[in-house]
Amino acid sequence: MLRVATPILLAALGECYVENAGILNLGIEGIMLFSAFTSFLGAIAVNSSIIGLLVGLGTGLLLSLILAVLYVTLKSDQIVVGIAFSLSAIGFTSLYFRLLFGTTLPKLPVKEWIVNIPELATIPIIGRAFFNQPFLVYVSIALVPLFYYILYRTRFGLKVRALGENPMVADTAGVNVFLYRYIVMLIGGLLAGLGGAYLTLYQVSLFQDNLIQGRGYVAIAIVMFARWNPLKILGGALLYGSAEAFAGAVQALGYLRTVPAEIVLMFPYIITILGLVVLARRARFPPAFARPYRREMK
Amino acid sequence: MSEKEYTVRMVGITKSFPGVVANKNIDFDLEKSEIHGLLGENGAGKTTLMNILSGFYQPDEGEIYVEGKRVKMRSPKDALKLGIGMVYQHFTLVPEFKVVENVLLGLDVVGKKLSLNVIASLIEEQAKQLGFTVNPWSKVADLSLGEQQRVEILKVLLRGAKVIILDEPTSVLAPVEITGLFNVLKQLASQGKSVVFITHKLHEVMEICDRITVLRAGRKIGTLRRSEITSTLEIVRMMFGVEAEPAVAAEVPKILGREVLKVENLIVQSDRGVDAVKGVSFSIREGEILGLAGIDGNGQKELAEAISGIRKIKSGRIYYKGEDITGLSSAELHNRGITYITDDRVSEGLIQDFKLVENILLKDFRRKDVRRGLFIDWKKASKKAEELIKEYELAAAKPNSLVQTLSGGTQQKLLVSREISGEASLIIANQPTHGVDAKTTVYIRKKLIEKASKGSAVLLISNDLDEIFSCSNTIAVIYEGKILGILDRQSATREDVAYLMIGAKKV
Amino acid sequence: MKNKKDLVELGIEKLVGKFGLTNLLVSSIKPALSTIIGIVGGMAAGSIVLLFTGFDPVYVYYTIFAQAWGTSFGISKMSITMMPLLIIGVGLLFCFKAGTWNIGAQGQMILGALFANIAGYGLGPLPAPILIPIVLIASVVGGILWILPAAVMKAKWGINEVVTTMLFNFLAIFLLMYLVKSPLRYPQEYHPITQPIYHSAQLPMLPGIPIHTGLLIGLVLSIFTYIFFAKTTLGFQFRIIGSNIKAARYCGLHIPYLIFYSLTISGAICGLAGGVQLSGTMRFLDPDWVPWYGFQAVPLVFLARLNALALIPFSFFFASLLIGGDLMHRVVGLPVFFVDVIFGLMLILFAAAESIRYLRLKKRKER
Repeated sequence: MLRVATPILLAALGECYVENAGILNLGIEGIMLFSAFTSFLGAIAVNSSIIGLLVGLGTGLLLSLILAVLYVTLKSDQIVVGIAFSLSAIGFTSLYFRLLFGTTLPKLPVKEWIVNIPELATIPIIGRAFFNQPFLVYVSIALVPLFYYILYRTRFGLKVRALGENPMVADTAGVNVFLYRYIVMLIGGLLAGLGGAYLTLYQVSLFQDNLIQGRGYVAIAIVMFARWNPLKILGGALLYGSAEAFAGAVQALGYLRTVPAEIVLMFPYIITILGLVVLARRARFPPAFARPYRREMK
Repeated sequence: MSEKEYTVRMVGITKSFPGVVANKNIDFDLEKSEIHGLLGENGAGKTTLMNILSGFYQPDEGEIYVEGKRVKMRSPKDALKLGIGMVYQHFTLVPEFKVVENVLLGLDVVGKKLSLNVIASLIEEQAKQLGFTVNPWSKVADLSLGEQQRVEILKVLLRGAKVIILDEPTSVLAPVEITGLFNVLKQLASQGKSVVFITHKLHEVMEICDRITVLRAGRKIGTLRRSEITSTLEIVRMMFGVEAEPAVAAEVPKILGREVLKVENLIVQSDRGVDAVKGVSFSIREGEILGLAGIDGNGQKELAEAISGIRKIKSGRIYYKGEDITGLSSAELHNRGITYITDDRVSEGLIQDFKLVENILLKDFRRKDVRRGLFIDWKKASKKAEELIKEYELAAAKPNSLVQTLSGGTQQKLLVSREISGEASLIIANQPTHGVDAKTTVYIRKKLIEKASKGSAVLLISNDLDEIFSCSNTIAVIYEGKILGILDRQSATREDVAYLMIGAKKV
Repeated sequence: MKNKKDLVELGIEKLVGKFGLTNLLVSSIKPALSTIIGIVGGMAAGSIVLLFTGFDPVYVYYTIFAQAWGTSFGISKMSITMMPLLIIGVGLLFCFKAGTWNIGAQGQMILGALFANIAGYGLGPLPAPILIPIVLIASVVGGILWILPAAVMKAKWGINEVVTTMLFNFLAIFLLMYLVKSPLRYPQEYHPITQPIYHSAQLPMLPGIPIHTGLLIGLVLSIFTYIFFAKTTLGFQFRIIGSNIKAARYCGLHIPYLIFYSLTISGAICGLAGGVQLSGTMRFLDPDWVPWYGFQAVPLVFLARLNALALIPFSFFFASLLIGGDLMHRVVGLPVFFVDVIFGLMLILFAAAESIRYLRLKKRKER
């Protein structure tokens, strides 16, 4: 369950910062997909999953930079560009996947860096769940309090939040709005890239067309109903993770024969939607949300 | 006084913006330990001048000297480094953040990197020195406006300001809070700082300022020490250029008699949650033009929006042609013949991307004469547009022209003509000749008077005394959300009105 | 570069000014420029991609168009490929013009097709003039049903409709899988599919010309939508909230209702697209049907600058790319996804061009 929640958690944490700074990046789905693909390639090429992760990370950074140019400097409509980007990601990755591999699926290298604490891991049920996971899982959980701290208790986090609340104030106070927005986009890209790479390399161990299956949008939804608070994001990610893991378990183990597999697959999405309805109703959007910043002289 | 003894000296400052010269060759100086009032009407150039001093704008011509040295400031940051800070009219605090966080935001950028705790104690100390207390850990949104303003002052002080400029600081304060503010300012002055106090309110200036500089239409009219002032009449004359009664005003029609609008004890809140209209009552009759004089920001916009149905009313009643219309929607009121000309033609009154003919129908697309069932009859609309263009002499305009290609004056004419060309019985005109050239101005005023003579009632909201006097039968003055006086135009003098506009009482 | 553009504009203005057409021409050339940049740029960027992959761009593009327009197979498929693009394009245009973003066309299409399918066999073999309209109406109902929650969430609570409609897409895909495999499964076939609709429920091709009735529906819708936005009161209101919400408030418009209706109508039309697909070409559903038209239509709508009539030629163009891409794949070996890539690139470049245009317009105003 933790494993499954990780990619969403990573992506959501990144998007959390991005949205706090007032940008709605719908391209997250695309970044995750691209990174999943490149990390797949990287891992096979060098036969190391760690390298694969790094490749995915780098891809995320690069792509978010491009998106940042479109969002911040050119001030394009964030919704249109984000969706266009995610759509072309599907096209691109499927295209190259086909071109490079045809119909044969290469084998992925062994998953490296999996944490294993022997004694604790033998505790039934939770042992394996908590103490035998790829390192990234622990890293991502550790990121939650870190991100929370940075966002709410440091100078940097303050400036980021100021950008979403009232960019004009931040600008007159001398904060470089554009620079900071670029930075948060890079952070978002980095994390989304990691999330996508992780999904491919550690979680499902393969690559497919449209691998991400909307998880990027789920991440966005979670950020919204968690009200841009990293702690609540963890909760949301876990919720989603359990739904998805549950669905996976049902499929694999054949529990609940009466409930068909597909319905169970819907659970994660339904939960996300319900989450939005229940919690996002009175959500206070940062006032500068999804609006490019234009310096207007008085 | 020699150069060196001035804290700040501005010489020959000139600044223009497209279409207007905001500051024309202004000299201004500031001494240590003084509170200097900068007085003038809207558009006199006070804020521009201070924006230049605080580094937000650069002057086209002129020099600035700080402590005797010539300086060039390219941004507010530069100004802060020199010790000049400004507290703006619209607060630059983030409501969601705590006080310390807001101050940190400001400090960090000037190069002072301190921890929150250190900042908190600095805040407390500075406040104590000025004679008040503030909890550094409270959220700004929870503070009263007066407290927020003091936080702004603290912010500026902690950034090292020795010169503090306040732009219309009392416009958002309750009387009690004003006293608190004045105490703080006096403390500041006694500690050697210089304070510039921008305002249009005479009595405040008389209460607290050591010297007063009056600006009018971009020029400096004069600077006086408070001790030198014998009567406030002098100041009023300087501010408004009030001479003897001007030549004959335009023909103003006779009032017909039946009451069209009656407003009773209206209280309306502004976007900030403060009462902007504080218990206003008046009435307007058919054929009457009620000129509501007042300087921007005294509640006019909220009043206009309330009467036209766009803004909710907190308490009070509105009667239209005898009927109680309190709480009805703006669409409903528009159907009944109430129309509102907004003061914001760019982003509210007109849609720049649309064609002229489309803009004409923005409010009226449901009317029978341009509609056939579910369809808009663009042919008829175009004809209407052409008539409008002809009648109101809209230059270089065709029904299919995009509004953004029209000049500012033409756009304003379009906005006005759209609202008054119909059968409206009540026209609320908010600054109808704002930003418009002289010829168009005369034209618009003429048209309004014409409408009144045909039986409409007009509420003319304006900050321009000429306009008020040339168009109204009755004159009311709004100040701080209240109506200070309703005068008959024949017997009122410009001085009377000017006094009321700045809240002064006749000496 | 800047000066050149100014010169050209000046030249055009002088030439045309004499005939009083300046306003019209200038205002229509400049916006179209973004579209041209979008298309040309997208294809150019695509060429770069191809070069990297070792394919010859000229050959690829030539093949695409030659196959689409030159073979009888291509021509016959044109109608069928164009119709969903056009209809969904209309559906999306409806809400985009009002400033609301329905990204759930895919899901709405699926639901529309589902409902159409059920109506198509569940009511008995009624005669065509009765059954076909029923089937189509059923698909509209399906589409509305699927967008309703998102529409309410946006109108009442301001919840971002992009995220909600997107999530519903996935729900629809899974729902379809489930339904086809169990409750609706057609027992007489080995592979899981639904029961096909009756012959009388099928939308036919027009006699003689290779144009499908579905396409005709699309054309009619496109014209109708154009008229709607150009001439009706409701269309006018949609345009207002899509342009300037502040002005909309000033004019007293009922904003939540308008938002709700724009999304709902959009969903209805996308549902109809599903019904047309089912009734016109597919006849039954298989569990893995994922209609990508829902997304491919997005760039289409923007490149057409939200003009309903322009959708027709553009959907033709896009359909050509799709068909050509599919056929080209068999000849050249380049996977069809390449076309999706181009679509995406076109839109991104279009958006970038628009932004630059807007920025330059602002700079000019300040002068």
